Amino acid sequence: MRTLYLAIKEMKHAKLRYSLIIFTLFLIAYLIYFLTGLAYGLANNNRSAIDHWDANRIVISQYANKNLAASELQTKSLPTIKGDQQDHAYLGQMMGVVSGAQIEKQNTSVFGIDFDDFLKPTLTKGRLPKATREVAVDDSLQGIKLNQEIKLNGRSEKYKVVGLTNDHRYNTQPVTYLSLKDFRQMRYGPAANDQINAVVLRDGASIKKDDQLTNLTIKQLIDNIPGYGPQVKTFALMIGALLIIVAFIVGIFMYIITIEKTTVYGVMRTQGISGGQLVSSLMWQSLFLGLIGVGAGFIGNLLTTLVLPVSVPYANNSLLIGAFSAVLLLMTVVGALFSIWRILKIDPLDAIGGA
Amino acid sequence: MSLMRLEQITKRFGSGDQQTTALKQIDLTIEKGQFIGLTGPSGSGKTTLLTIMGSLQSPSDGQLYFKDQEIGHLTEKERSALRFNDFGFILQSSNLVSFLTVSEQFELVDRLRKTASPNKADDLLKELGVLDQRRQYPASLSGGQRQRVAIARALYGQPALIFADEPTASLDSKRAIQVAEQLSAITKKTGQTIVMVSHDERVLAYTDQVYIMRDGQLTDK
Repeated sequence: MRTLYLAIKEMKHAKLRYSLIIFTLFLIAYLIYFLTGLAYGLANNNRSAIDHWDANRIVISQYANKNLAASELQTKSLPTIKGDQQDHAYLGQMMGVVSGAQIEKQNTSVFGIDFDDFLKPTLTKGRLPKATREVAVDDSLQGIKLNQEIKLNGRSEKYKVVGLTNDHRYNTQPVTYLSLKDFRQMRYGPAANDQINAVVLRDGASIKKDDQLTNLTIKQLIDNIPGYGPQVKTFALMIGALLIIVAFIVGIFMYIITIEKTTVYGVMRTQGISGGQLVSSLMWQSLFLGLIGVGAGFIGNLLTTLVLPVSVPYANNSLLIGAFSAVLLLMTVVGALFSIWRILKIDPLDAIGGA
Repeated sequence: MSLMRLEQITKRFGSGDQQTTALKQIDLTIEKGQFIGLTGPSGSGKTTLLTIMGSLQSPSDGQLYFKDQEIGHLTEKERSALRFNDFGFILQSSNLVSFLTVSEQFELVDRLRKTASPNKADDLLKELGVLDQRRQYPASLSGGQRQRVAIARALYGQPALIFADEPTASLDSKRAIQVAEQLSAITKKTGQTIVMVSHDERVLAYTDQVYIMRDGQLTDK
């Protein structure tokens, strides 16, 4: 703490120089937060409907290659499901197109469920479907309202919107919930009565092993949503690269400043200020630069959130923001470590022109 | 007990055919309250001797005692602590920290020591005629003002030994004499010891004793 004074005084004296570093850190921190928001928002759009299940495992057909939409099962052919009846639920799923008198054609992910099962969505408005051709739809579907009539996949049947959900998306599309019976009829025709895509299992429920079935964890299911993995990895790579760049930027800036200060450091070493104290001052400076730059980036990110259009898949996650803030601060300090050996190497004799 | 004692101090630089001996078996005893002058031609080893006494570098051979403690072969950390607590430096070029105002140069010492110095910075600055400049940065001071602030800084904390390397080199004759008078007065008033390297005969006239360095060897004047 004794070297804090030295660190602050120097920063106040060379305001422009240190402001430039802070501004650079702000830009990078802002970019990292923005990318994190986009990555999380996009990931959330892929999986939020599944996250609401609060389930552990899902069973799909073996040939489906871990792709829920490609899976087809018959309930009558399934092996015995162990556990409480309430801990497993049948799921039908397909991609579809919603259209209607007052809404334009939009993509949707159709979930066929039994509204008495744990897969039933939590509604923000209206009620759960009870009768035939009633649906609950996510409110991110543009122009959707309660009691509206919509068509699915261009079929002649009309479905009445009786409930609205919020943040129920799958594979980036808003989810339309309808009964399994309606789902089967729409996808397989009137004769179908036991087709499903998957069985979702919660704690305590299990299904006997079968060559025709694949038993996935929910994480495995999410990781195999088409496009999800590459998307997450791309963002993770970009953010990771930026974090490393932060260390280099701070390192280069601090190293240049350290070289410029060789004489004044020499003077201080002559006066008996130890190399350790000078290093400590440098570390304080890095921490301050990091705190101000990262703090400004965070505030900038919050302000951006206020003006972003709703259509942008953007969501802040406090855990991720906290973690990246900590890593950013760590990287600013790591960057400054490059200059330590330089400081410790400074000979006080340099200050008096050698001897 | 002498304040500082040098016994057979030798300093060599380089190795093999390239080796040069800057100091050759120097013996010197410095008592408390003395104002000692060191002079001699350029390259004779004056500054090397001063920096060894000031614990800025170690001798190749010989013993260096400060208050009867051998200090010639301390670790870098120990030497830093010794310089901070017991020695003061007035350098040819200013020994001020460029990003601190005159007052802050003294505040830094207090903060690193965690205690206020027995000296009052303002009293020292007043005595040396630079009190009005206390809020200025070194860059905005004249050469003479900088040197006087540096003297005040070296005296602050009441170090037992002050090493001055050509402290009047950048000053005009009038100022140089004034600085020499002030250094002489300090030793009389506070009992602090000063070892000063200088080429200026008029400045050396204020010292108690002058030693001449020639080819790495020390002789009385």
